[in-house]
Amino acid sequence: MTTVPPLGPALGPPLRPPLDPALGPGRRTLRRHTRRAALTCLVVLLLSAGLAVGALASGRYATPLADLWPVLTGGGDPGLRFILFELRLPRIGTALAVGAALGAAGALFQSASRNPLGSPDIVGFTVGAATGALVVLLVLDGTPLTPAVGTALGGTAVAATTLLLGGTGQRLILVGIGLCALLTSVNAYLLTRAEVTDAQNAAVWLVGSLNGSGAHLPLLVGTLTVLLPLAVLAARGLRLIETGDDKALSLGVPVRRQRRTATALAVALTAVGVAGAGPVGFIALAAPHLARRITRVAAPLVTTSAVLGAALLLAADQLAQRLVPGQQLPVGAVTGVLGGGYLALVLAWTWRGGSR
Amino acid sequence: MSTPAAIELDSVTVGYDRRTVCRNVSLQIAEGSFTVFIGPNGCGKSTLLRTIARVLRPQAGRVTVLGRDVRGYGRRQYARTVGLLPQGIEAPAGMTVTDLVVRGRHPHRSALSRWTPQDEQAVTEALTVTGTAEFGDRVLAELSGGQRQRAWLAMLLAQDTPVLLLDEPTTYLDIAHQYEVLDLLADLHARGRTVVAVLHDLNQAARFATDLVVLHDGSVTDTGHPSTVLTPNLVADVFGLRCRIVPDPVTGTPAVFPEPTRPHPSLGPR
Repeated sequence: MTTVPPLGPALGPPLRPPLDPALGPGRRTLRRHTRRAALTCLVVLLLSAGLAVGALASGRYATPLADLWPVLTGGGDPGLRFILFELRLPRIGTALAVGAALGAAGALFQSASRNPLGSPDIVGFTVGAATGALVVLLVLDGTPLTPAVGTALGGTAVAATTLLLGGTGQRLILVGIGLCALLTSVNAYLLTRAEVTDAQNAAVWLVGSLNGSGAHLPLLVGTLTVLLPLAVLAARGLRLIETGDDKALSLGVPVRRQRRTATALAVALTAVGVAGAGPVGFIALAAPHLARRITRVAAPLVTTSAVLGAALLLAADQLAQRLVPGQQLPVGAVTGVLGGGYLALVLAWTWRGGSR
Repeated sequence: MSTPAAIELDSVTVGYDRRTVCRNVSLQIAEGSFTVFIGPNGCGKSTLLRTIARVLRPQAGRVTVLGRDVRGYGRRQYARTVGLLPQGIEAPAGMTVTDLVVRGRHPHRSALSRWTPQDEQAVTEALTVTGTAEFGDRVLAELSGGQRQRAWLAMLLAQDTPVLLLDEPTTYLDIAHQYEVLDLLADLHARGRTVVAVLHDLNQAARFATDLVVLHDGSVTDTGHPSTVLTPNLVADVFGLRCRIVPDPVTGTPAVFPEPTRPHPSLGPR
């Protein structure tokens, strides 16, 4: 008796997969990803809302939650009214807006550079922003330019230079490091030439701070409502570019154009964030990273990263106001410490994963 | 030629920046053929394949696919006609097999369209045919090289193109997985696809190809059925290897066996 060898799956008869698309693996995967991203956003939004209420109620003049409601609905004590509407709300709003901008920018940067450590910092944005602020404060003092505008312009100029010289990938990072080193010494020189009070003022712009912020809130929110939807659209093309340039080209994706658009949007979003609070570090790096880890979706998640960035910055700012009693730390110092620790953890994980 | 050409290259010159790799190449690849490019490293096999895939733009000459100049196709339209599996491809961290295969449907979906039953059918079939369905929810980085390569092939199949281009699809695979991939390609060819692959192993090329294209120093040296193309003279001229060619005991296709090499004179007598 001869036995027919079993046919491999490739040689089997033509397949009749189930026609109901709801049952197939493709639809299941897509739905699972959407659900995870949506759930993450929802949870983080709820957390942010809780944080925001907590931030409203606390501060130098603790406000019982019961006193908040009459003020928010238009009545209440005028003194408390001033504290809430002129001090606390704008600050909370700015933290959320800046965090969202930086988170979204980081998601686009990481994906466009195909580098998990890609962030506005690697193209020299942060250092350039500091230079811009220093030049406005110390050199162009007395002109109508504000340090906020200076940071945005300085950061954008340096980022654009790095991108023009560096292109993408390894070279981009090396050019970024070079320009950073150059500008760091420029910054140090500017500080040595400044008056003590000016230098102290300027130092805040070197780390990023939300102290006394809030004046630009409507402008921040306005720009974000334009830029964020565009960023979500740009991320759609990037999902395919992550599989490699050749593969994406063969799938009909205009790779160069998409990458250029995404990077330009990321620079614009960073400029918005930096104009609002100075060069706050690590939010742009950590938010998209956390978004991928929590949702387990391998794609640039602009919305989730924006929501996470907002929550992170708000939390960091609350921490900065309480960490040292009687003193307000700049929020950039807190994100720097937390982000640095996170980066070290991530590198340790990656290392272990790589050697396995 | 009896069958119409699926791909036609007319005096194509192509390279990178100022360096020309292939000069004045004219070539016809028959529709429904399993064509394999062979040649020593750096002879322009990959360059030519990437040119057909429209990843590289020729410096001169014309590429025609299914009777139409490739420049006349829209981006997505071309991606629905010709699919490419590039060499040494790497997946983003954390991506699952099904997630990858779903992305292969990109050229069939417009910006706003929903996931259709056709999309689902193509994905399900691609996963089943490549035997990747059973680990569809696993992350690519956790899989073996063979499994990962089959996942990339599934992505290519989900693209559902009549022409398939594969750049060294068997590199880095152990021998059983190499034949698994080649059998799959032979099966796709039997079902009517035009398959064009770059392969390193001459015996595998002779076993699976209906047509061989021999490339040397950026130009086509010879084309035709493996039994007529693969001769000791050709292997000596193109690869610089003295060999004997005997029928493969399993398939009867030509198989290459190198002659023993003489020790280098500087080493003295053996």
